[in-house]
Amino acid sequence: MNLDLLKAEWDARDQRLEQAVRMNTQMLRLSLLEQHRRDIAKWGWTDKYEIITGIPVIVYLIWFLGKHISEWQFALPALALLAWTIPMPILNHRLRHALQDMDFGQPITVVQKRLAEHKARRLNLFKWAFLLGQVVWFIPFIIVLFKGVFGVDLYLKTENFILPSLMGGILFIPFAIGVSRLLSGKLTHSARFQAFTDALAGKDIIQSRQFITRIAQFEETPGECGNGDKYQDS
Amino acid sequence: MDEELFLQQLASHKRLLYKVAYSYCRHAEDRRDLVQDMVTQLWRSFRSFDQRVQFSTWMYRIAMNVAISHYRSETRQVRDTLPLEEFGLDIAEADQLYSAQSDNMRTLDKLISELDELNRALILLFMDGYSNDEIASIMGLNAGNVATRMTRIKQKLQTRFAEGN
Repeated sequence: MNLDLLKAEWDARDQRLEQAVRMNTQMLRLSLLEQHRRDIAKWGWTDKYEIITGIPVIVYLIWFLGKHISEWQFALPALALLAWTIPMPILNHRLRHALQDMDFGQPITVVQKRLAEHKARRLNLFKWAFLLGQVVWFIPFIIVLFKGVFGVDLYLKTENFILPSLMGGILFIPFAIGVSRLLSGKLTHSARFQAFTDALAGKDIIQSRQFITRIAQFEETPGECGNGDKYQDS
Repeated sequence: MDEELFLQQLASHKRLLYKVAYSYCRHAEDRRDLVQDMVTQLWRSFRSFDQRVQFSTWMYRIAMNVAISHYRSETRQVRDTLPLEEFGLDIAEADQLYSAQSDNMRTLDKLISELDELNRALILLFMDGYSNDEIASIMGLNAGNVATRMTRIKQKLQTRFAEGN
């Protein structure tokens, strides 16, 4: 096979392809209009949902803090919840829009590196939000909920709740990572579950970082300074 | 006006989208999704298109960036595209054309699909007649790097082709 000779056949196929890809301009125009309308609506349904559910929670937490500011055992959980509730939607929103606003017209190595970095950041955020959620969010939520809504002091009523929950939350972290590592790559019939276990096990993050390294090696001329040669051509 | 210009340019270079999609996506159903993603991204980026750059060069960058991301499933979360039956680019005939090609072309496509995503981009641009300088600009590499890599890829493909026969 001579690639230069095959170019003629490639070009001939290209000419036939010109006819084979059909374009319905009217339909495409409607699609572009709809896409434009969606792009203008910068706040997607996820953002709206997070705002609608987040604002009442923040208002309630501020009210709760004001009422119990002198009682550290209630003020601290409320502060932890605020520290979680405010930045999480902002971080999520920024990550989503960073991807949507990315200029795909930049050179391929530049865009792919940014995408891989973005993916690693997104996966890290998800992983730690999920793993720390039990300790940083769930336990303070239960304490604040019972005190604020039912007037129940969980520290007094259920002596065995706080410490075991905290221990359980901390132990949950290595347990979840361990189980995910065991299951990662084994449950191929469910793409969503696979993505979930890969993210928790850190497999996807490692792959993204490896891809960034591969791109860096690809950017070096092979044989120029050694590293470029490590990059495999296939 | 922007829309008219975009559609005109898209009509002139639409085959490019199929070629890239075919190289990065073997399943016909996914390929339709991929082509739709490419058009969506092209339209989204068209406002920042620098008229001094050739449309086909810019289009190649976007098509390949979308295809590689699709291949690596990195843009899964932003894929908010329209239902397929409402889309205006029909590639069914192109699928038929590619499935009824010569043995040489079929083998070449198979060997290209065995390359990793970055080298695959290099060989596609080479086959489309781009010079090393143009390939370098699309890829974000220097021309010397492209020349060296092209020589290696050509040798590798030729060896594999000979082994296959």
